[in-house]
Amino acid sequence: MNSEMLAVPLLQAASVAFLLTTLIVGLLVPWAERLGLVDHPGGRKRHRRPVPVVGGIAIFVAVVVASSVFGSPSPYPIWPFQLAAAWMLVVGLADDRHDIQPMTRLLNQAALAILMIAVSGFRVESLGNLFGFGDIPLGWLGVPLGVLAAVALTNAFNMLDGLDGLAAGVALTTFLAIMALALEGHRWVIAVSSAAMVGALSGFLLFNLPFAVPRKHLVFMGDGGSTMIGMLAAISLLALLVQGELPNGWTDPGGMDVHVTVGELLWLVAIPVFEILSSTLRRIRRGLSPFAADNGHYHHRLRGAHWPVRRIFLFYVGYSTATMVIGLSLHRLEAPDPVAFLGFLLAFGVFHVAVATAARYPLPRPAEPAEAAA
Amino acid sequence: MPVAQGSLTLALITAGSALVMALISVPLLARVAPRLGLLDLPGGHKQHHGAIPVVGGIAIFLSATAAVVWCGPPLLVQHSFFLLACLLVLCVGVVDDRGHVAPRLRLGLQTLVVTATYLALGFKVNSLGNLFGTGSIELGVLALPFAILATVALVNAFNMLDGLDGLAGGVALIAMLALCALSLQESRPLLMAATAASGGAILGFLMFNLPMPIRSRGLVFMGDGGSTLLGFGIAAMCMGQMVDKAPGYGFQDFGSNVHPAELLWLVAIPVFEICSTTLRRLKARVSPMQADNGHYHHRLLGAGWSVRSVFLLYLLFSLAAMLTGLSMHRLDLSDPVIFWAFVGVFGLWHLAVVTAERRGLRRQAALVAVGPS
Repeated sequence: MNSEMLAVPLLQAASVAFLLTTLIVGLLVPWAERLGLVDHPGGRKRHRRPVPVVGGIAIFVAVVVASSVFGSPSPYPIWPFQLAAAWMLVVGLADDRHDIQPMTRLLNQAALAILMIAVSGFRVESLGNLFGFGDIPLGWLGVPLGVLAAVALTNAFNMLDGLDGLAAGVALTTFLAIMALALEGHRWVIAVSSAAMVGALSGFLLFNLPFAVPRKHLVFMGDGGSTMIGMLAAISLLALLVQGELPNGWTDPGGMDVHVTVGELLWLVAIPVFEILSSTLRRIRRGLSPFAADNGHYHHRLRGAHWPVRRIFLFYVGYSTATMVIGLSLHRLEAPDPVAFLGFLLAFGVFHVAVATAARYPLPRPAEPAEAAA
Repeated sequence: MPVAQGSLTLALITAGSALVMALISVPLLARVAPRLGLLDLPGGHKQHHGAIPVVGGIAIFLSATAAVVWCGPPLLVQHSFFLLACLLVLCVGVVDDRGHVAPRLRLGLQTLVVTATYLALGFKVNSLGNLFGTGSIELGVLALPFAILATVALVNAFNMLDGLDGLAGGVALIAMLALCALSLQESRPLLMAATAASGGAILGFLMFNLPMPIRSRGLVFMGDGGSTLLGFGIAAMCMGQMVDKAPGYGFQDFGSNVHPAELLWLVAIPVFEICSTTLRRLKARVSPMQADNGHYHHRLLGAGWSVRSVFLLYLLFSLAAMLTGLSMHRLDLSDPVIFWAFVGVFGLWHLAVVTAERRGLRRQAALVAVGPS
């Protein structure tokens, strides 16, 4: 079947997930207090009143339902994705309620990533010709590197979720691109789960956009939501990298004719990668554990420069849309690997300098304190 | 041009470029809006406070056009006619935003532009499909006039919708998404690029037009220019779905699988709006172009709904209608079912809004009777 014929089912999956997410958020909010799914202000939190943390559950249910219903043209199993999402959600919910140890969280993520790679054989064979000196084969290193990438991306999305709308907005662009590449590579299971994720995240944003939602209607996705999104993105990206048919038949027979490289995929998760790289470097330089929470993320620096929440949100979403466009264009033009990789490093530099410049020249403090406390 | 593999990727590239351009151009244009005289001052039946820049239409047009030209397939002469027509519709609207254009003149100009465009592009509605189950309704000589009438109606419907933040943009975004998916499925690369670019540009604009709790801070309107442009664009792209072969553009020769009744579902709310408004004004024996406060969103506001609730209702309702239309398309349901289901939903929508309004008014009357204790 011509893969373009599947555009309408993808839109259907996204719409169903959108409607379900809004419905479930609406249903769960009155019960949030009783279920213990409320984020109370305090510590590093900026919000003032308790906020229901039901976004993660709503996104999960919507994605599972929509991808199960519309994933049907594919004979291949969709359950590993749903299992991964459920696992991350449960660990994250426990974290939201009781603040579990960072090490426990990390071990869970690593175990899940290892399991997914074992089940599906998503092994990265090669990094591609990143530096122009020839292909960098990975051999058995592909497994630990895949696990490391998955854990890093999961935590990167968790870090992004410090300001309303950022994690969902950035993830939206990532999953859109994953959907398109998966459709091109005949990986229907991934395409339809990404489409469902796109719909679910858009629906969730109706309750999480920092500037368009009255505070009493605000809802968070929580650690459960952000780690689930990060893990699903990581698994999908690993699956896109695999050439040829997968051991358990996750790809259609025609799924080998598209060549996706690491250099291109980096562009699809640019901002999360910037975030995790800069936080890790910063914490190591200060002699801290890379997992110690702090207020040094890029969005914190922009807040420190009195940027309105909306401007930060639009900056992030605009920048990640631009990197997505560049990544997909590089893919279409079949640009050589070194160009993609060095361009990515350049984009990192531009982002870093832009934030540093904004932090050096702060805007005047906003007149209304109400706005700053959004 | 055969549809290259990875058209969805191309659609995303186009939409993403348009989105980024809109995110940049809206605030820039908003800054120069006072010098262009494009500020909306409160008064009359306007709800907002403070002067709001009315530059959304211009930003959407510029971003979408640039994205199509940049990322889309090469344009032919006819397609530049279409862009010119969009520009003309936008200009009429912008002049209306700055001052005032007599409704009759505006309607005449819109009809003229639409007629010229459709003649150039060969857009017409040859058949309404088998709406009543009595066989296909062929329009014959009326094919072009019907297409023009439908387009002008949709243009004005979107103009009416644009009474509350985010309504026209949200409804248009959903229609564009569906049209983009249909174009991908039907292998129409140019329509795909155009709808994707418009969708991206509208989304970017919406970031400045969502109903915001903090009033008039960074808010931007699309204005009559924007709403009439969106109506025209969506109508023309619906017509483009129905032509068997667009002239001079080697579309695959399998005819169109899209039926007019299915397209109705993609623009459900604008169609409800224009139908009910025309009927109401004819019943009240006023000109159908007479502005009033009887639109559905006015009624919901009168019933005590917040702007945000009306926005969410419209967004979710049009998404559900779009989903229904696409599902019916995929299930290959027969035309009468699709059409009469639409009529039924229109009836339910009308009844629901009228009931909500009546209840809201009764509650308010009760509050007034008790008095402010």
